[in-house]
Amino acid sequence: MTIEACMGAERAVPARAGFRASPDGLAAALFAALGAVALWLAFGHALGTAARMGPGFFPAAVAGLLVLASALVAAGAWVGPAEPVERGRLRPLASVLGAVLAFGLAIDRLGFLLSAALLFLIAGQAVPGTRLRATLALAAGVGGLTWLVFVKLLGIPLPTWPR
Amino acid sequence: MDLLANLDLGLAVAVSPQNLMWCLVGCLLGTLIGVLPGVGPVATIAMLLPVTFHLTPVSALIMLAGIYYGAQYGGSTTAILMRMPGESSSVVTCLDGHAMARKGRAGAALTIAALGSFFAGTVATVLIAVASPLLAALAHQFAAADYFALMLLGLVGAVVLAHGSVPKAIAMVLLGLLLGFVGGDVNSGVQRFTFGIPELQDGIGFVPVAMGLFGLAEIILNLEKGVDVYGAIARIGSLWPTREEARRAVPAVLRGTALGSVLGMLPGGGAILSSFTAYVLEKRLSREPQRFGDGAVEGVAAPEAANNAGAQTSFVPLLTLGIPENPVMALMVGAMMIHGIQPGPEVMTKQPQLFWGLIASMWVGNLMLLVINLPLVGVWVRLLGIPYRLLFPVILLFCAIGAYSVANSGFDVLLTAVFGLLGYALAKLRCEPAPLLLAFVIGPLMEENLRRALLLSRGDPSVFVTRPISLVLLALTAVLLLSVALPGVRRLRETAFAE
Amino acid sequence: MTPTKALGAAVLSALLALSAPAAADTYPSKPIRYVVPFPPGATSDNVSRILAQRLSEITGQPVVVENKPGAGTALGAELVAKAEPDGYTLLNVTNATLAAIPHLVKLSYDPETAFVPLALSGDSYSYIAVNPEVPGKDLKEFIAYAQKNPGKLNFGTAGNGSLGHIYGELLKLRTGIDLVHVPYKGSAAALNDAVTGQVQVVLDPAALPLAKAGKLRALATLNAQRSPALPDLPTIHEAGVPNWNARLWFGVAAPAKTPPEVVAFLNATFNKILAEPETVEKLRALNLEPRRLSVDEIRAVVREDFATFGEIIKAANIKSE
Repeated sequence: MTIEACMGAERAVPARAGFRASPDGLAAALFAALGAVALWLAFGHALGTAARMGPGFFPAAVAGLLVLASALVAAGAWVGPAEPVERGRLRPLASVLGAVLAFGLAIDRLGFLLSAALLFLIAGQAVPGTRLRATLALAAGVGGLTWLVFVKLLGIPLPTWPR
Repeated sequence: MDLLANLDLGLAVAVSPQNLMWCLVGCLLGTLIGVLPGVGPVATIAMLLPVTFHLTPVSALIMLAGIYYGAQYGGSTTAILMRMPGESSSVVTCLDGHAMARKGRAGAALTIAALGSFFAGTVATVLIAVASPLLAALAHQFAAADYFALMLLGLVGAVVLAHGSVPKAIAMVLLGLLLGFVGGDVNSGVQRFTFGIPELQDGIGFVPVAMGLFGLAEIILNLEKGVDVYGAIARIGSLWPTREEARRAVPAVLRGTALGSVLGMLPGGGAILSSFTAYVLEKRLSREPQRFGDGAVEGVAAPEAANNAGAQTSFVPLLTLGIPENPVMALMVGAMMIHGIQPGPEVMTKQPQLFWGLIASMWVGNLMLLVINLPLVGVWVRLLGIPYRLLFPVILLFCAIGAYSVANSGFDVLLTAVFGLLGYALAKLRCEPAPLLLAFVIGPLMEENLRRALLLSRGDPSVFVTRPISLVLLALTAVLLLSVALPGVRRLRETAFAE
Repeated sequence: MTPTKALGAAVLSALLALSAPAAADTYPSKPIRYVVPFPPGATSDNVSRILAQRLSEITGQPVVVENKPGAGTALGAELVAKAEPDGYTLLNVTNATLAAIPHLVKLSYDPETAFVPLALSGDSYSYIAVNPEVPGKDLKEFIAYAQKNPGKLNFGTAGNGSLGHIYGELLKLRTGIDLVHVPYKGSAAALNDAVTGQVQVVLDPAALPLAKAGKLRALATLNAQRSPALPDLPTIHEAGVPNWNARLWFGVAAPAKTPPEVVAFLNATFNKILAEPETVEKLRALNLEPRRLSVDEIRAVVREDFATFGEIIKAANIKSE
């Protein structure tokens, strides 16, 4: 959807949804904030000179340019046509990210099989009306199969059980 | 003629029943790990190294090489079907490959990727056989200053890659560069942007960034729409390209092969640079660049040809000098050493059956991969008929395993989720992830080579214009920069005045 | 696998872990983790796989090689330093991990007391080599040339704080020549640029095949004895550099509190493996010379190296944060 949407953004009819609500305005704010943080961090390292650059020189230059670029993006948001940011939904976002986070946190402690089950349980929450029994069946079937392929066939040293 | 005699020797080695079998095993495994998102050839080859103790050195290398280039074939599959880059070299395939799939042309995209890869693999293999020493000499013309210029060209190319607003693409490139700085600085050893986290000391891995920005973000967005998104892909469309698609794909494959063969030999960013550059070149040459990102067949054909050609020619530095140019080649060095073969310039003369056998097997392997992959196209497309609510947790699991397997650590899995969030936010803000990812990969190489060039010249910046390669590349960069900047500026002014 | 069964297994394995130290006479009774703090394909990785396979064949338990690269071996080393000291988690080490990294990086464990060494699996031969166009047919002539051209020559290394870096700084200290350090990401890139002449000097084990093929000119072996691969090449002592005491070796270690019976068993088993002709042959193919030392002998070697590396790193002001 990202690419199609970006194309649409360029040709969209001016809707004047206001500066702050537009995707470009928010993007500009995000870039400016990240650039400023990076700039501040970069100044913590030796800058050196252009001929003998220190470790801070390049990051500082890039961070500074990012702040500048965010101004350009903001300018585009100001003069250009704008439309509101498409609304998101919390449920898919939280359950997908939560599932992956849970796997990452659990894998070194609980082992593969339990972590995989956890991932399926949390991911299942993304779609309303998913039945627990179906999720568990999927977790058992796919979890076992992937364990066979990844751990037994490909030999990836995933811990199988808690340790 | 010597060459014919050598190739004859090589083919005789490659088609011995035993070597044919190991080649097939390698190709099958490569296809499998290529299709599974995130699990790369490095981890797989590493795990299979001990198995190769029991094979002859030739069989071992043939199998390991098969895994490597087999993964290049397989990697495009998830990129096209699910917008999930399995390998760094297939990131760019996501753009138009998945757009084609959304239009019901998944089968055609996969078929073109397989045929283009086969053609490129064949050409590159012949090239290695005929001109290895020459190619190596060519790669050796590149010094630090030239690498810097090449990377700079790549960065400007990253802006061209973008579909929408130029300022946003520039900002994404800069953001990618910043992410690339995380970790120890090669020149000074100083830790930058690591926040004291030891896992970040070697930098952020490619797999978490790519799978987060592309894979996870795509899954979340699909779920938000709440429809069975892939049903359409699975139902519609012939598996073969139309005449029109073929007409567009053929020249793109030729150009991609040429570009990939050259760039593939360069250390570090060779593989990813070749596929990106091939894409950018096609977009620049096209009379309808607006089709790119919207399912342009050239945007699949050229990068797929380029990455497979590059995968083959990346063997050149290994075969001619014994110097590995990427982690997979480093593993091949390990495999040779364990068999008591000292990789180096002497392999070609002292172990001709190994050298030529390996080269001949590459062509045999490419043929096998074509035979394996073409029938699989239909299977993959049908696989997407599985209801999405069952499919997506499985994809998530594969992503998590893939991220874990890079460094055998849960940290990279957590990082994948973080980049999933970033990818989701960027998608909502209509910023494209591809320029960020390219800058992330080539940024560190650019800085490293810039500073190395200045260190070697003792601070004299004239090296960048006195070396012919660097000068030409910088001139190209300037031209490309102008061609990107001018229309953008004009458009901004037009809109401003229209107010 | 259902959650209840998994939970049962979890409890079972936790109980097993608790009872392990008491059962030292039955060691090993479960799979052994063999942590390698380097990515696959590195020499450490190759050595580990050779040893792990034999250890597994002898003990009848799987020995799983696990690559944990990162932070200049600190990540993998920390994992083992903090692992249960029951003999089921081993670390492949080099003397860099035990004796050089502690001078360079702030560690979350005490490097001097965290580990007990189990084996010294091989001394590595390293070489100083130059691009063939650099004048001087031996080390003496090269040093004379470098003295006449201070600050003109570059030495390429695998990175800041790498062994090549330490070797190079030691050469500068001992001979008074002035070379410029050019760090790379890994020694392959440095060797490549030495072949093309971007940098003139490398000090690395992997210079061997390039020197044999005439792409580089080897000047000396950086070891106490000559390398069997290049028997005509003088050692750095023979070439006239005094007091050269830096070296590279590979070995195996375990958490310090591992039961003495298990340490003794593993030390004896590894030394048995290191005496087998096939293993010796395999290690020599990796340019390593296996040694068979007792735990105390290895400890002495580590102490010596710790002092040496500390001296060089301090004198040359080598930094890697």
